Amino acid sequence: MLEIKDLQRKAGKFQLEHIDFQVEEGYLVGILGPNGAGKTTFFKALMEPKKGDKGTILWMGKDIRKNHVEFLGDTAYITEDMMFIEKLTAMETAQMLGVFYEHYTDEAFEACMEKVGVSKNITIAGMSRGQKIRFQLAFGMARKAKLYLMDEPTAGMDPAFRKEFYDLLREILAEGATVLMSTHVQSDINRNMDYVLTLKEGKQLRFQENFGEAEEWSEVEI
Amino acid sequence: MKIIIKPQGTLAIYEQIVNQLKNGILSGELETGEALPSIRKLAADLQVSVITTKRAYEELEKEGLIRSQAGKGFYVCEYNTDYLKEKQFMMLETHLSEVIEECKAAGLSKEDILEMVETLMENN
Repeated sequence: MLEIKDLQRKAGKFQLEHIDFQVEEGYLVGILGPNGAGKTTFFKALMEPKKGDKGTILWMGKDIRKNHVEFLGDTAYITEDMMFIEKLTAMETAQMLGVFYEHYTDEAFEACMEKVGVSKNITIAGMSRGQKIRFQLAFGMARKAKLYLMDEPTAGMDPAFRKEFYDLLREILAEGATVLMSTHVQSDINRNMDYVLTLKEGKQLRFQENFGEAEEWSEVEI
Repeated sequence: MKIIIKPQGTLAIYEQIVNQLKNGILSGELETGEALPSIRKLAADLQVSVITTKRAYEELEKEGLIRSQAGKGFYVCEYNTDYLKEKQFMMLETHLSEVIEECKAAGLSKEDILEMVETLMENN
């Protein structure tokens, strides 16, 4: 379980205030808000805590600031802005970074890359935006991350990518991971999110369960 | 049976699932004791969030149509027809009690009320 209690963080003139919610394993939280609402600052508060941050963040009952190395071991932060060495292939990058993660294996990474549909021999420089996101997702899966923090993973992606992406997320969630992802695409929210955290100007407007409306047909035989 | 999610302005996805499963159970298409797909499987197959299918099952459980067995999943209730009848009786009793209270408040005796009921039933 991830528990955020009255989180506050200053970033220059910007102030993130009174973020307060909790989410259990296996659920997907959408973080919704326009640019400047505090989505990235929120992720930074988890990934790079600093002095002056207020409130409490508990992961599996433990204060993440006191157990940050352990927390990072469980967490995959996925963003377009991630810095990698451009000339290395996906496989070489994973091998290099995998050293830092207890559960990482090359075999698992190869299997995960197959699952996300990206060649392990492609270089970072040669990846499209969507491939870069999927590569990071595969790396997280290969090292058995339990918490995925994703900053706008679907921005600018076509509906086909989105559908495949959510199918992958459902697999990760079914295995008990927790996923928090920011978006400003309403159709991402409708069907897919379990909870929605709405931010505005650094404040939490609401955190609520999401019972979406259908936009497209789907059917199943039971 | 088939569950179909349609773009419908007024109904949330979980309501569509509830309605269709309810019809399936009451029509006998889903038999008593039959296992339902897990919350996660149904969500994945319908491509909806887990909270949606969870809510749908919770509603059906509240209505006594399905039951959850810890660690195993959800099943169509064995006694759902009896349960529904009982529920209906309870609802009618509540309505009748209200009417009786109103009759008393209007100064009618027990005989007056019974006579009124008899007349009304004959006319029907």
